[in-house]
Amino acid sequence: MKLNVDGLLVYFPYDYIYPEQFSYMLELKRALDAKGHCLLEMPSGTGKTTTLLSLIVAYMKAHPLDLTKLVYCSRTVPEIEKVMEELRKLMNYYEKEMGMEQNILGLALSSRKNLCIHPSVSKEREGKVVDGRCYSLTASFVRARHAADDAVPICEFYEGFDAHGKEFPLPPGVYNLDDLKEYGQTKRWCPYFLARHTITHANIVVYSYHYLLDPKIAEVVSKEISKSSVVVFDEAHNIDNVCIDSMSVKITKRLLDKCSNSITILETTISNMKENDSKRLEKEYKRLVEGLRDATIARETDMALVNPVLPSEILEEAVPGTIRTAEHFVAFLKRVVEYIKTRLRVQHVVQESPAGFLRDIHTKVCIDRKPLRFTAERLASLIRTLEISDLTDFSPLVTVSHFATLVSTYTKGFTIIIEPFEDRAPTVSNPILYFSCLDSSIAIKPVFNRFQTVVITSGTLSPLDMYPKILDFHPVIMTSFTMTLARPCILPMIVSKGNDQVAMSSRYETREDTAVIRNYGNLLVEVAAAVPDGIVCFFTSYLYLETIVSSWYDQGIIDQLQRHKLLFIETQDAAETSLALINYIKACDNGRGAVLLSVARGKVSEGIDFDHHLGRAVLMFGIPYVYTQSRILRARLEYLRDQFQIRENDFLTFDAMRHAAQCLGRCMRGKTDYGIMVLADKRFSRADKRSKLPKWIQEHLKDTNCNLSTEECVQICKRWLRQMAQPFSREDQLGISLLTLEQLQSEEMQKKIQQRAQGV
Amino acid sequence: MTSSSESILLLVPHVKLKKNEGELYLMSERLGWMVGNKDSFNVSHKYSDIKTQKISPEGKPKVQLQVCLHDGSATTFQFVNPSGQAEQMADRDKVKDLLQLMLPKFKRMVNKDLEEKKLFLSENPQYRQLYMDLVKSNVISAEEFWSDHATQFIKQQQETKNATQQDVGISASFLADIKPQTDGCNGGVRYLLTSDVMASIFRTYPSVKQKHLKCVPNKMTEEEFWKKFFSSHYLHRDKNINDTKDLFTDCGKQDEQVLKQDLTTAINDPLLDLTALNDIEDETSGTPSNAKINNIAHQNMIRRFNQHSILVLKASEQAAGAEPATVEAAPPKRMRLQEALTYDDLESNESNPTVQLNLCRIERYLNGPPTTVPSHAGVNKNGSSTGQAIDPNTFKSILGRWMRGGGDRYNPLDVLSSATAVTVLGELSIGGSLMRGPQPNSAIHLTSELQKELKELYVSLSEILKHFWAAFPPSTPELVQKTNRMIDALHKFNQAKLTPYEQKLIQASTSSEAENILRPLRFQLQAAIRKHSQLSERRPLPRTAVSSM
Repeated sequence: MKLNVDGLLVYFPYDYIYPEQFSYMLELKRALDAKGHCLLEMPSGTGKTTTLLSLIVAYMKAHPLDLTKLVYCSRTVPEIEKVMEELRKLMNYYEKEMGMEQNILGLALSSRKNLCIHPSVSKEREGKVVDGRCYSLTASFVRARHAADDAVPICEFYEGFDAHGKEFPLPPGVYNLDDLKEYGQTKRWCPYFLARHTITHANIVVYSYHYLLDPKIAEVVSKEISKSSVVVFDEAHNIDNVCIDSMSVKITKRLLDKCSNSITILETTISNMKENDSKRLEKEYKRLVEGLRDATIARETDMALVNPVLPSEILEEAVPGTIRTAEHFVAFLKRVVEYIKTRLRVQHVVQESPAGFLRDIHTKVCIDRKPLRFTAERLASLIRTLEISDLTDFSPLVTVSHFATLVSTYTKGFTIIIEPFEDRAPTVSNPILYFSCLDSSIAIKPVFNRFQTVVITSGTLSPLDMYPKILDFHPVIMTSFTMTLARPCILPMIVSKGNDQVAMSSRYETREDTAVIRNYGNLLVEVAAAVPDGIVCFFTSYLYLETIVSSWYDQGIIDQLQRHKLLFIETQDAAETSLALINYIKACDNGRGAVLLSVARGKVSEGIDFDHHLGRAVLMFGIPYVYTQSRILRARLEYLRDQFQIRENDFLTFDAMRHAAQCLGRCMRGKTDYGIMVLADKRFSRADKRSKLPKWIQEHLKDTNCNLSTEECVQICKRWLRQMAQPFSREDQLGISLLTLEQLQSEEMQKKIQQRAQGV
Repeated sequence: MTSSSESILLLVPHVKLKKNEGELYLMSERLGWMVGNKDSFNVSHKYSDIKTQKISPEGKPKVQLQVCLHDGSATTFQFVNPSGQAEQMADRDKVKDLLQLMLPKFKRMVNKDLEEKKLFLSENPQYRQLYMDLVKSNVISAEEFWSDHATQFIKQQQETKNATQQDVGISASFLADIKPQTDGCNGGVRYLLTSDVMASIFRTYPSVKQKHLKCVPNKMTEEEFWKKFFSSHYLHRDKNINDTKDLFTDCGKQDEQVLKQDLTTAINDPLLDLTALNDIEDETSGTPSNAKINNIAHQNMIRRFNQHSILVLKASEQAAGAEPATVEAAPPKRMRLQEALTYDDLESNESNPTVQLNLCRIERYLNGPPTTVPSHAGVNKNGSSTGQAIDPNTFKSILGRWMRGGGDRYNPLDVLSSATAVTVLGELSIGGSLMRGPQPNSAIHLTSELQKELKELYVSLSEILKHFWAAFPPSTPELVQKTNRMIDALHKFNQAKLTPYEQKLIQASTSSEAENILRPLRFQLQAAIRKHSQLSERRPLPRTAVSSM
């Protein structure tokens, strides 16, 4: 249908629309008009993506000068592909309605692992290996060698792209990963480099967060995206963690040992080269004198190694003299590595600031801050000069160089923690150095500064006011939409006690209590007996899941559970979990029904949807707090308190509740779906927890359902399931939670929508 | 009275049947009961007739054992050993245990078939009538009836066959059902193992089945095998699998292998592959350092639960479909994605009103009935072409004929020529050939009984005739056989049914009327016989002459 959103003609590729989708469009349009950032929460499964895409594409068509590009960031590869398919649907609709080809180019970008079509390289499963092998076939010096000697292997697809691909831009259309590969196959061009090249002139780019947030990658991939772009972060409830992870470094003993090996390799290569081809080293030296920004950097394929620091700060300067010659630099690296090794030899936990670390390294091994800052860049240059084609072995050394650069660049917002052993196993010596970013705004700041509109959206962003604080930005629009429903298709309940009236809670003091564990088990067994098809359970941590499962086994609860449904459990092995998932879905599809035990914050909770019969009930056992004893977390909490005046407890609860909400939201998709949400912890009913649930869940959480026992919960479930099992047709929804164009245009509805938008 | 070759397996005195005390004999093929002083069995049941046995619950004053037969009747024996209830119980248990051993051996499916047929006849009166008419009067044999004539029964049976193809899956908790029971006194643990559970174990864990086949008769007894099984990791999920003394260690390893293979082959859904979820792998996730400190026993247990569920699912899949060997091709990724992102309720459902055309025989559809085609001038004269589009010009000309003079109005007068119309009208008006009413002279008043009988005659005859004509042309020896059989049946029908009925009719009215009434029947009969004799003239058939009618 064609909509009029505040004067903008929007093509929406469906015949009906949810009222909240329209409200969402209104808000989004306001943010685009204002050229500011916005924060939008809309329930999962109400068609966020298609709403976003149709409005932004319409806006781009209407104001081609104000808005040139859409950069859509999503979290996982399947999500990226889904967005592309939504876009394809939209563009097909445009074509059908307007009767002509659309001049819009949309493409997805992913790592080489997902785009490579080289017959042997693409067979590799590990991303790093693919990257390394790709580099060894496409690096400029390899190609130069190939020109001299045909025996040196190169990638024919890259050559094809290099020879012709740049002159012929990709024709307009929607290119998903598979389309790119197909196109690459027919043209014999490398899809990865084609996609990267196309980013600069594509209208819509869809890729993962890292390409924008991780400075190591953003520098390479997203450098040339213009300011007049809109950036969308979908599923952004976790964005602060992504920011922090992208700036943090973890160094273990093993990593350092590998570093030493790499350094030896470097040394031998240098001495070899000195004998054979000393000119090259000299050339490099001269170049370094002139400054780092030399011509070789422009060669895209060489950029497998990049500076982790934000663009354009230090790179204009020349490399300090002490590390200009190759031998000096290697010796320097050696010293750094040895120094870190000595630091790891601790008996107790050490925590210090980057400044303290710099002082210490200066006094102990006489390394200044300045050369340290250039480590990453200098190492990249050296590896290039030495023409080392196999990069995979060097990744530990690269990590250390990143650390060196980061620690000497940022004095604020980071901390260094050295732990001699893990808390849970104090006897096993396993020293780890964490260089941890505490401030999520550091990584995202350039994004906010650079682009005119940044949209942060997810199904679970509540409480909304937390995000502007921790990401340090000022949104022009901040809205949470609820879900209009013709029937109560979600049933959130807080189960606080078992049938024996013992309180259920995953509190640290009671979590090992057999009564609590048994009550959790009985709750699950009874729900499994009452609810058809699939049930998904989330535990607060993997460790807790393990202990509970073993207690349940001893208590015979597993046996009872197996009488009703098949049991699948998430493991720490991703492949095994995938297999369990596939079988879980099989069991749901063939009607047997199954229970999946899973972990909040785990891969399943973040990446897999359990819509319709795959998840008729979600049980959240306990409040998924982070492991609060972690020193990294402690440091971060302290920082948040000092810098942003966020109380520790507020942040912890916020973090726990967004993950709980994330888990609960997994079971909903669309308004024909329905699902039970059981929050099994006494503490959920407290106001500070409850109020942090997303509005769309809170709305349906009645006061009477906030303090239930197992039995009461099952009774309510049964009644509700009977109600939900009644036929539900479009007519029931129309006018309330589903609108035709006429209904949408009616004055009454417009008024309602206006109210809803302002009511926040 | 019984043949002496039967060996008596068990003799229990003091057994009451209907207030008479006697002795219960369990023989190799049957059980029998006789009143004490007699020498012949008053009651004797073959084991194959016995459906189940039931025993009175403990605590009841009477110690009884009931034997239920396939035909629904039951015999109840009461054990009245004078030395007390404990002895009575012991007697009963002896019988029970022996019966338990014997009954499965004699369990046969023959009776089931018979029961089904009986049920069918009682549910379908028209077939019962047909059965009475044709089989009871020896017109055709019972076998023939069931195989050829009772079409509905055949269909029904096929349906049930299809239905039974869907086997019952395996309960996920079958291992949990093996509950250890302590027998109190000597601290031992007893496990109860039913044949169902055994079957479940074998189906779920093929490796255990192999082991069983390998070990049981020669290396150890059945009992020992299961004893070992109960102490293995299958039942005790927290046990370490690498215990080398365990018999089932290599089974566990085999299962592990299967799982590993699945890991590489079965993950075919791009949306569910967690390993490929992240675009860029985290450097931290690569190190399994924090995984190691966790309890390995717990992890093993969790893996075993998953494995168990996967195997149970697999086993029931294999039971459900006959072709589980081929891993079903993963749906194309794009389809899978689109499926994942469509919103049913936003989509208009008006766009797809098409109904799928379900053709059971495609070639018939493509060829079409050839007679209809040539009626259109110039179109598909050969009549064998497959679904060609009608030449647009011809189509236009046909249309043009329908439209008067190229006008825009449809003229109904143009469809028929006026002459034809008049003839048809004549036929349809009173006195016309199509409107000739029932002739007054044929209106014989038959008694309702005779009428009913006549109806049945019609039904039976047409049933036989149907099969007779269905065999034409008799191109194969089997079909020739069939015509012969049918003609025999017709002759028999004539003798056994038609002639007596005619007699009855003559008694009720005049012979000419009777002839009138039976004329259509006779005509049908004659036609079939004539055809058959023509056939047999052309090709002398080796068959004994049947008396002509």
